[in-house]
Amino acid sequence: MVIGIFVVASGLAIAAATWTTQHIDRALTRVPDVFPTGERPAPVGEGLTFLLVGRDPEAVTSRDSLADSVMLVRVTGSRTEAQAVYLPVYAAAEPGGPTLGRVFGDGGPPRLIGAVEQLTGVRVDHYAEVDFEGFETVTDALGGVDVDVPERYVNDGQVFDAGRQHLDGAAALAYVRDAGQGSEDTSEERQQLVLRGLFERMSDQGMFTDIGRLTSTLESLARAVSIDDTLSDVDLVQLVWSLRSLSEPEFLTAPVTGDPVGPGGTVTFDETRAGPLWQYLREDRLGDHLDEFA
Amino acid sequence: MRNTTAALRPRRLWLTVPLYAVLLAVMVADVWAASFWLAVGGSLGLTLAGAAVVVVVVLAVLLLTDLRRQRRLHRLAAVQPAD
Repeated sequence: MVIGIFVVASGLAIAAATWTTQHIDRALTRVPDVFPTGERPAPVGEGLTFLLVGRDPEAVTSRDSLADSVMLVRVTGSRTEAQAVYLPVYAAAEPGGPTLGRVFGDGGPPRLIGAVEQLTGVRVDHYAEVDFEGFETVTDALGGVDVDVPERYVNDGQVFDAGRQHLDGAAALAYVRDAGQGSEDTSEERQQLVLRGLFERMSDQGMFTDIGRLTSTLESLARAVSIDDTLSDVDLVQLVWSLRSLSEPEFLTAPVTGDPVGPGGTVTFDETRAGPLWQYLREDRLGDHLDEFA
Repeated sequence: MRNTTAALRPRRLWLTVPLYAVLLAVMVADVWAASFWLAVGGSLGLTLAGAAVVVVVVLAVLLLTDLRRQRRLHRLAAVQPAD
């Protein structure tokens, strides 16, 4: 009798875990045909490269909306380290060409991936989009985020004083969004601080012992993120499981030249300094050379 | 004496049918879970698929054992005169 109850309870728990996994997967949106056709860089080693796009929260349903941020995330073959390279959306992939934000607005993910692959020579293995309004829900599901605000920032009527601040979803969204002219140059830094805080929160052991909180966080994360359709439910579970020992990613911004502020003020990637960055990314050695880009 | 007689009596159908339905549902759910986790593979997938297979096998054994016992008790009750 006792054995029977134990076995039935175990069976129900396994079925519930499977159902929850598939339920979370179904909440994810798959973006079809994101990869460009034609010649692409060859895959290198066991590492994985993701192109992560943060979408404009004001136009989440429009494919033509501009990207708020573009990030190239390289996970090493051992799946223990990752580097996240910000590619400023106001930077042009080639001199005189359109900015990355414009490339995305005109041609969506295939054009953006094509432009990034051409710029860096790095093959993009997977594509993910984060809806910034969904990001607010994720932050709330995590119970807020702790951010070390370096300097006073004001946006959407919210004041962020310098120092460690605990932000709820709405405040975190206001903090990462640009307040207007002149705030773009701190955009990457603010996004990095909040992403770091979110990663710390997710790595927090307490979260993994609270099944309800873990499930609601993963569910809200799934609702906020869209991924390319080459990742099936099985691939996704394998991928997430392989990343279980991943340490906090190192954030850096691709070097650019020019002035982003002002009408028509675009910048281009600084080939002298960005060249080695692309090379380290291609050779999966960026983790050993981070100090060169500090 | 009354307890022994009660233990030898077949279980009532209104209890047996839902019980078997629940056990069969758990078995079907775990066969589905095992196939999913087997496809996932790796340490996580194989562990969960293995656990699901163990659950299915143990439940099948329990179900068949109980089914045989209930059939035997039904036959016994049929040949015994009513109290």
